[in-house]
Amino acid sequence: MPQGESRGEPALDPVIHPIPRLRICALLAPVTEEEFSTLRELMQTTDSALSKQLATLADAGYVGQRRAARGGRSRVWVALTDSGRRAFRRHLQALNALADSPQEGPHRT
Amino acid sequence: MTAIVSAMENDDPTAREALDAVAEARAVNVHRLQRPKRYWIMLGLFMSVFALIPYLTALPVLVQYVAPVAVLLAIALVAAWKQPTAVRKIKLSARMLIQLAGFAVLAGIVGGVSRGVHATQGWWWVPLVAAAVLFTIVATLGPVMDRSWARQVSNAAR
Repeated sequence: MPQGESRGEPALDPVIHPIPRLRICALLAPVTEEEFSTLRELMQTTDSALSKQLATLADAGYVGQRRAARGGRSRVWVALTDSGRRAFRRHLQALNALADSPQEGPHRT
Repeated sequence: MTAIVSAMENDDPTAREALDAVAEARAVNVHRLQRPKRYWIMLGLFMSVFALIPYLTALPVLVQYVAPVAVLLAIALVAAWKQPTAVRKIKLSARMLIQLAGFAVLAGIVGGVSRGVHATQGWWWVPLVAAAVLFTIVATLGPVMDRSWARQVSNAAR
């Protein structure tokens, strides 16, 4: 459970917080699922780098992956899980609260 | 909040940087989740075929069933030939489903009225007008609705 959640305040989620994983969540949020290759192109990254970030999100239970054939080729589809969607929403709330707070300045989170 | 802040790694982004990254991803989503123009032209042509079915009533029953399906398949084949998929797996909200149902009902009404008038009055041009109306509606309102949907789903989790 992200810190601060037990006190009922928005909490930054350390799994989602790094920019690449935050971008993955933001790209997956509006869709039911997305192809791995599409996600890789949108992220402008490599297979291995994306796989590594997805593995971290998957370990936290935030994304799921399935393999399916389309056009005679096997493709990997990636989706945010329900808990991933909730965690992303909470993380955004925490970011907004933090950005609005007077403490948000030159220091890093 | 201080405890939370200190818990994060030192090289983590600031909240503002993180929100900027999310905003960028949302802008990408708004753009990528819109279907290409060819998709709406294909759908408009599908609707036109549906509206033109009354012209087939004089033909054998088998042709009445097979011809529209063959035309639809041909349109789909041409529209999708060597093109990236136009499928967007958007999470549909109740409002979007209602809009989609509205489209289907409108097509049904225009098609039904056209068929009825053509059958009772014998005005040959009615299905043609209905086909043009349906094509215009789908080809113009479809992209507008699509753009609105892309914006809605991209900015849903705020």
